[in-house]
Amino acid sequence: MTQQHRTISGRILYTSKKPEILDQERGRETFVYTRHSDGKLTLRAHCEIDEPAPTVMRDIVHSLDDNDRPIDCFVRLTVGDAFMGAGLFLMSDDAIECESYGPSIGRVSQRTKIEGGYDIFGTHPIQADAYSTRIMDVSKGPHKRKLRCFLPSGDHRGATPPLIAEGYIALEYLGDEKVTVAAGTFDCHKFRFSDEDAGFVSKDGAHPTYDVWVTADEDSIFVKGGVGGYMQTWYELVELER
Amino acid sequence: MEHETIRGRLLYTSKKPEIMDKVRGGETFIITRHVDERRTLRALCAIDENSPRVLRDSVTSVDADWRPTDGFVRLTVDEKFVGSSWYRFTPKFVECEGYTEQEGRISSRIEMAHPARLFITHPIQSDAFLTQAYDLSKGPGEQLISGLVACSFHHRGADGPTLLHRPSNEGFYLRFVGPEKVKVVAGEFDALHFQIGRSTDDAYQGREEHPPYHVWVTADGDYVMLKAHVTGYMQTHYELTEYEKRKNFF
Repeated sequence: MTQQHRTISGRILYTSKKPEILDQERGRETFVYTRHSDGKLTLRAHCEIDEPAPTVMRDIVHSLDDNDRPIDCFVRLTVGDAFMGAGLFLMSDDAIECESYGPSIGRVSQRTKIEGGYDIFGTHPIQADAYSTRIMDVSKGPHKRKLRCFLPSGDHRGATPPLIAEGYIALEYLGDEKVTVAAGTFDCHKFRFSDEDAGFVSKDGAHPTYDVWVTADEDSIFVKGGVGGYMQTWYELVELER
Repeated sequence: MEHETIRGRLLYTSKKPEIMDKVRGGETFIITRHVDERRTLRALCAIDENSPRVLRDSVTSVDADWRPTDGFVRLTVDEKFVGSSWYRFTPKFVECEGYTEQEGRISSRIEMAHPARLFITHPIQSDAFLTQAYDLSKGPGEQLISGLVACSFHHRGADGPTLLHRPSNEGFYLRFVGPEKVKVVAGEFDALHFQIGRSTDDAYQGREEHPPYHVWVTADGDYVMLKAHVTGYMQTHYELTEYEKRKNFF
């Protein structure tokens, strides 16, 4: 009677490495994956960032095909406890469409023609960051790639109304490690995101270096990681069920 | 953040003799009551019993008066992607943008004489939210609720998701039976007992009308589904098995 898809759910704790709030909770994320029986994947994530102000509450429902290519993505944002925007992104072979509304942008319809392909659609949940590392061919051993990314927000925290943004970021595969966190011990791949060409510049500069440890299996689950520079954030998997 | 979060899990079981009390699906949900009294409901629902077997994502938001503001529905039926649509509600119109396997890219808009009152997306917890439309100050009785917009009129919500509107003179009847104390797996609660729809014929086996649908929701103003059952050809039962409520996220 049961459907044949597989479900993976987890919870990631967001803490800080800033000296004044060292290791204190500053947010959290719950996620549920469905690995459909035809190989497609749907990720839902509910994320909250409490620090720094303004707070961010994000809902994402993002689906990928059996080759990990994006199909569609819903985004809804509350920033500083006020509605920031909601929108749907639809991907086809040659374009990304965005239908969006937010009090600051009004009603927006966008269509961006894609020439030359792209690597990832970055939706901002930490688990989505982990899953995007699947673009790397780890069989090649440690190496670095420049990735063409589309996003629903170019902001470092994804805290702007849903609109199509584009940029480049480097992703480096650094090797494998065994990692123990509250959710258990996992064989992991270690990766590093770096904005070395300043493709994602905000008022605080380029996106700081971001290290992630991801399960070395078909699920690519976020295990731990952190962002340096002005952000000084840390993330850790505290619950996992699969 | 000073919002309130409610998390829950509903178990779907059957009352059909051949699968009596067997699990036939389930639903997890997260409700946020924002500081400005808006509410957002995210629900992930699975109906496993027979075709059409449904996997549904629904994220819907209402304003401080419980009127819909925006929504999203994504459907997989019989393990195949069916559609994904986004909705926006304004005082004068409702619009839908999406993609369905049957229709391709869809873009539709319905002009509204009055703002939409309810948005039906088919999670069981979403059905519980429908009952807030009943004016409790009038006591037990029956009220006609109009201003209905839906993503699907299929009894399982197993098609679309598209934009459908029932004219204001063709709303649905909501009957408030009265307050009751209800005990479910998740605990014991003060409840409000409603019947959605007018049919009282539990033996009715047709598909044209939705069979009698009884729901019990929390009486604390949050309208969380405690238990529900549908008779007729459906013979379904729903029960809250996990429930947590607290300030902020957890």
